[in-house]
Amino acid sequence: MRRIFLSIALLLCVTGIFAAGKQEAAAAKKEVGIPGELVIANWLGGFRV
Amino acid sequence: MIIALEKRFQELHPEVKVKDINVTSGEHRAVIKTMLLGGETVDLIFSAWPSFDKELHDAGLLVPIDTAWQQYGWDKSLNESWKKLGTIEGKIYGAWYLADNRSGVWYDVKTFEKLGLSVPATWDEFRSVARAYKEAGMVPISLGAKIWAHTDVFENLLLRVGGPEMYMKLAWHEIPWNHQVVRNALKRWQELLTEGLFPDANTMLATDWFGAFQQVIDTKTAGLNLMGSWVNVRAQQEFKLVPGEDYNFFQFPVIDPKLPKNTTEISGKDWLVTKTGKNRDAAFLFIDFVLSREGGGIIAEYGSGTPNRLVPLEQYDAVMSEIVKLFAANEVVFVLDDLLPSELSNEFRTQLQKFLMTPTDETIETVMAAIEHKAKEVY
Repeated sequence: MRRIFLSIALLLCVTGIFAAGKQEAAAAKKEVGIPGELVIANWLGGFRV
Repeated sequence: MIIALEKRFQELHPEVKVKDINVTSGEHRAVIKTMLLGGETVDLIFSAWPSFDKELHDAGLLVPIDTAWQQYGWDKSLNESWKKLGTIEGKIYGAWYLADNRSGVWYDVKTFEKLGLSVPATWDEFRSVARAYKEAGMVPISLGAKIWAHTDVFENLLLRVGGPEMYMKLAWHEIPWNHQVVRNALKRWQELLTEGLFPDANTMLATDWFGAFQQVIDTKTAGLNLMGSWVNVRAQQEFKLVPGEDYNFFQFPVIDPKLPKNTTEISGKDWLVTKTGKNRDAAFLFIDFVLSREGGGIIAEYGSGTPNRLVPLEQYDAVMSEIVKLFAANEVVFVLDDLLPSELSNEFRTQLQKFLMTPTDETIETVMAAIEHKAKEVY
């Protein structure tokens, strides 16, 4: 019984960390997310470096 | 490669829509400058010429990137010398992302081996190798003097007879163009020309840089070609050749053994953020991607060199990894022609073409005097 309880607690803990990590990543992405157009003048085309 | 960088960036940042304006015709510098002065919306451009960066800066067309540099930590990718190269009047404007070796002489490996040649380290050995091609009925050293590629020969000769210090002094016009060191460099070139180790003048003036390279690795009508290391990409993509196995390079030989060996002439390309752009933050984000390990990896996989130190050596091919090692081990100087103001660069190219037409002592004097005359006007 005690072992089952510990397993559930551990599972909840891991899920919590994962969820928090996901939230953090989403927040970070939102923070760097820069909408709009980026215009690049390309004088080499797609081939030459 | 630019397209590949843009594509991956777009995947990572779908919120930014990358739009390319293709600048394909004419003299790129003039076209870009006119475009920016005309107020066209452009967030990012790339340049290959420090002197052009300065021209755009002086015209008030560039945005300094110091804050983004700090914020994103680009010191991790680029060392002090590259940062310095991108700095104008105390502020950073250019983020260098490509680096090319301009002191490499290319050859076809099978022909080289068939003639029993060894990589020449000295001037005499170099001349012997060139003579071996001549004896085999080939053009010893091909040269595309139609626009600019002949200037590389002069610059490497200058570096080998005068060393990096004199080279930079000439670049900043701290010594005149009729200095003895310029004469010495032209005299060395004269030796090769009068011995018939280059094609005839009309052929050189009618050939562009790529045509001259092609003669070595494709048609195999010429033995050697001094050319920037971007040809490593062309050889693989266009001719499906294997670097190190089908073609290879050696560094321009030592002329004066008292000077540091293997001082390397380099060029490169840098990103510039323009004032006409509307999405400066996205421009910084794109530069950050190009300077990341992943962005640098894309450049390396294309067969190009990058100054980005986050890219491990193993990611480069056999030829480019040798070049990257040269960058790290030797003093480097930026290609002289790209350091000169455009007007002087034009005169420099034209006068060297005149020298190729008639490589006499008299022409050497008139050529040096003409470039010096223009330099006095420009500086």
